[in-house]
Amino acid sequence: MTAVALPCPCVPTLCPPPSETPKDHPGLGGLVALATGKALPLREVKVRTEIVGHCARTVVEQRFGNDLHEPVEAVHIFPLPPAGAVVEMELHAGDVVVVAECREREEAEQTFQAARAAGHRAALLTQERADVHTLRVTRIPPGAEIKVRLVVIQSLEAQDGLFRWRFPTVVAPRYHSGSPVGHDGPGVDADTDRVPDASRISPPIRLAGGTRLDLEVSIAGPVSEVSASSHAVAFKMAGGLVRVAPSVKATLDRDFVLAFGLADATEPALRAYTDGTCTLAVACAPRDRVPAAMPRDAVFVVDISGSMEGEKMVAAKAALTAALHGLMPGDRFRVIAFDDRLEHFRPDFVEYGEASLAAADAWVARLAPRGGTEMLPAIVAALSGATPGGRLRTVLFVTDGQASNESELVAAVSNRRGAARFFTLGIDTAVNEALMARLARVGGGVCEIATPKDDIEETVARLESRFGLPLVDGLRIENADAARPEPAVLFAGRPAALLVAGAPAKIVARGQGATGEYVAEAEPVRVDFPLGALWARERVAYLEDRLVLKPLETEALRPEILRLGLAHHLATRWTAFVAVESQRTVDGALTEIVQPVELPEGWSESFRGGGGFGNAATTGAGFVGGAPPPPPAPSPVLMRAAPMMPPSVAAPMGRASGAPGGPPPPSPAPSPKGGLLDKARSLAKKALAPRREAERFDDADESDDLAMPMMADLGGDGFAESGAFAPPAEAEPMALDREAKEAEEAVGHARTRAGVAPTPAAVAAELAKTQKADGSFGGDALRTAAALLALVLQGHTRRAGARSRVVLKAATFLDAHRALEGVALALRALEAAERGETPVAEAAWETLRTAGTEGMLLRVVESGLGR
Amino acid sequence: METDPLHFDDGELEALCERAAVVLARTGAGARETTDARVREVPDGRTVRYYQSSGLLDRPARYEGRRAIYGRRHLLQMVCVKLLQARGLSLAQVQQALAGATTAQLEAAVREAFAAVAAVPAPAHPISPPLRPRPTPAGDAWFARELAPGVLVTVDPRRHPDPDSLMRRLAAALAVPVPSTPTGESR
Repeated sequence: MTAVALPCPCVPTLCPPPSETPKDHPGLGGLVALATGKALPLREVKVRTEIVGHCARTVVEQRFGNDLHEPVEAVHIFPLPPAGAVVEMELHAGDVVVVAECREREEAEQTFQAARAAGHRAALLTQERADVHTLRVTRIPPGAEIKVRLVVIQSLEAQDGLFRWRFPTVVAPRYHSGSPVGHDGPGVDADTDRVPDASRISPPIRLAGGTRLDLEVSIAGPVSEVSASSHAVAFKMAGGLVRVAPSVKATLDRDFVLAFGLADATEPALRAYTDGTCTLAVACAPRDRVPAAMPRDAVFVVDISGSMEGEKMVAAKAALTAALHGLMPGDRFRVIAFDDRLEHFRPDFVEYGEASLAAADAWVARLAPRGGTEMLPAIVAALSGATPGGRLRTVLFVTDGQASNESELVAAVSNRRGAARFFTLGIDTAVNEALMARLARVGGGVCEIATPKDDIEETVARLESRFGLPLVDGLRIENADAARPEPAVLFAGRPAALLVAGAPAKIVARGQGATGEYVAEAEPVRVDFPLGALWARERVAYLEDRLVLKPLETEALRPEILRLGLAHHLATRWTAFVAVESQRTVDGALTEIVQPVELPEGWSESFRGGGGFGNAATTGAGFVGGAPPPPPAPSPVLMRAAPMMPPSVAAPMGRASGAPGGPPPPSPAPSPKGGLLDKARSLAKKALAPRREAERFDDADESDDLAMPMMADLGGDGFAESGAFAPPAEAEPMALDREAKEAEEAVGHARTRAGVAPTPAAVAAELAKTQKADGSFGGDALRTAAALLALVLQGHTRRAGARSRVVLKAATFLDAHRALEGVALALRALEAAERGETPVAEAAWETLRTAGTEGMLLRVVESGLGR
Repeated sequence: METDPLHFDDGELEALCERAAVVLARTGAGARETTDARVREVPDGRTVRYYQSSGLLDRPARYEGRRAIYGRRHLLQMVCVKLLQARGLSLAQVQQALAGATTAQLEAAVREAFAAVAAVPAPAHPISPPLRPRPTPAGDAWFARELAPGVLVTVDPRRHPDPDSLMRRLAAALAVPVPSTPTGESR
């Protein structure tokens, strides 16, 4: 097929001359009127989540309208939390509420089609992937609305002491490997020989505007800290609950990510909950354990496909650099970058050392995003070749996860890894968490998810402390029917949730630790939460993994998944929810509209033209290669409201910055008034007709003052307008020594990183970055001792804290320099901290406080901690 | 005898684009409404991709092997996108307009555009400005004529001694008005 050789005409004309409004040219069969007088069917998505302990229950309400003169069938391809279970659905049509039934998918589809043919209003929910769902709402009467309400349940585990709840709002464009073979689903991409359901997971991309997200999460307290990294949020405390919601208008263009800590931070080794039918056990690795040390053959794989363009690529490179610096003497490493080709730093593993590290840093710095996302060859390369005895192969896979050949990838990791540990780091505003978590699970590692705005080095530091062998392997609950029969693993800071059938009086977990058997017991606490459905959902996920790994068992697995879905009222690949309102009929020719969805925030505009991956399979149009079309001309309509998305500040920093002499306090969420949003609007008003206003938010009120119910009574104690909610932190201004320019610079780095003030955490990040391959700082024993002490004072030891690797390396280096008094002091403090004592400042520390940059940083930490 | 320009039997992408160009030429899209070249251009492969990813163009009617096959509704959608753009609408507005537009609505829109062109009296001056002769390697001037807005046809007079008659035949085949002879045409 040859393309007509003309200059690319696909750039939309977004700014017609102001004099020529469409009103001057009525007609075109009524199409012009349609362009300006109506909204897309999906009007609003309302999300209400209640989190109690380890259980989260979310009610999702999607509201559809119809501005046409004929009935409409709306199709919405949307994501839900991949580990969540859809357990209920209701159709709200006028004042009629119909509770949906869970049926075998084919039967549900037939029921739906029959209802449609009979003129009845109906809704059908099908699951396409663990995360991607399709909602069809038919016979929406002209001028009327229909709401569909879903209930999703999931369990949450704390990661490094913080619970993380991520609610996806948009299915990002995914790259489809293979050649087009057909197009069965309602999406825009063709099915391929390798991704036969691509057309079911590829919603059309919206060219302007967005659908409003009305989201509120309530957390049962007492809560110690809360932050949201992708939205400006407001908090409210009432009746023992902390309620969190975006503080400015949000649309369906990125994940909502909430991190919170519970004041009751003591994580027992085992915690159990039961609803009388099933039991949820959360096992926690003992804090004082250290994983078996083994030199690693570490493979770092980074995605440089087109979808990584922009801040994601910056974040991925920062992650890679940080992870490389976290290696230990004795480790070997290799780096692989992939898009639709593979790039190797070196053809094979190289020894970790100052020179190889510097070369790798330079190589990584030059990486730039390019084409398609062919993950399979990268995974194969990362797991190929033999690993010598006594070494552990580890893989760190850094990507946004936007590839659709999930089954192939899961099978490749599972079948090829052998004893290797496969870790994933997902970076995106709308990350494919389902894929990232699944690859890590079959890979015997853990998955870490970050938004590009997160402190990526902090994220890597957390990951680094696990980047090797687990603390506990082969973890099982005794005498119980586990949803997932294969044993679990426990990494430092990452508990495992195990679901077992039944409600025994006592739960006993057993596994193998590095130094012997691991045993933990707990008596289940009674909860009012449908754990049975959660158990079934987990079992289905396990069976889905079997389907991928043992395709020959499909015939045996299908009835089992079907049975679980029907028995527990779950949406699965073979069960669906259908609701029919058969009292009334809505006549007329039916029009199907597939709801276009937003391009995720931060994505390259070239994806709006479907050209971001530059690959044939993403469109099915048969075009191969070629540069993506140029992005559309900037236009007021496409401008995003920058004030909507200031990254929130990590909790402990929230109050530290009011210190005299320090930098100004973090500004509250900028009001939309007078901000970019306002500017964009006035531009839009000037350049275009006023009707454009409505394009930004369907059906949104025009007031700039967001009528968020919970905002009305903001202002009392315990509120923070933006950033983070935290108990007051004791923080003192730090005295910067005017003489130490170098130190100021380092502090400056730390300040930039944190965005507010040089905090102890930022100092730790700076130290992690500047540590030499041999574990020293500047090759100097005293400076290294100062750095070590700075970390120890923040609670980092060789066994605990996100910077345990940095501490371990520094301590190993210092071992040979114990004769120096300063070194001995620092090592003593470390040993004291590891015994659980608080290191007491000694007069002799003064030697360390003057030891170069690190001494400076030590003083910053001391003053920051109020010592 | 004119065939229906909106007739399009299932065809591959290339055929779809060619047919869309012909129909657009006949509606005169762009010539009167806008001087923006991007709007006036006939669709090409990348445009189709853009349209597909944003749902402006339906999924292909079917697949033959790896080839996507398109039908009449695709032709109408493609033409309507261009017509709406020529009316000064943004692609985002076009997306709104075409979401749920029936085939009958699309066809009505295109027919209306045809009628509008027919109602306009023949232009007093040529549609296209006089074209400068285009030198060939041999130094001879080729005969060039804008057959329809955005469609330039060049003919080697050494091999086609009567280019005007050729133009008339081409115009008939494409169902477009015969272009008037620009003044100052160099032969």
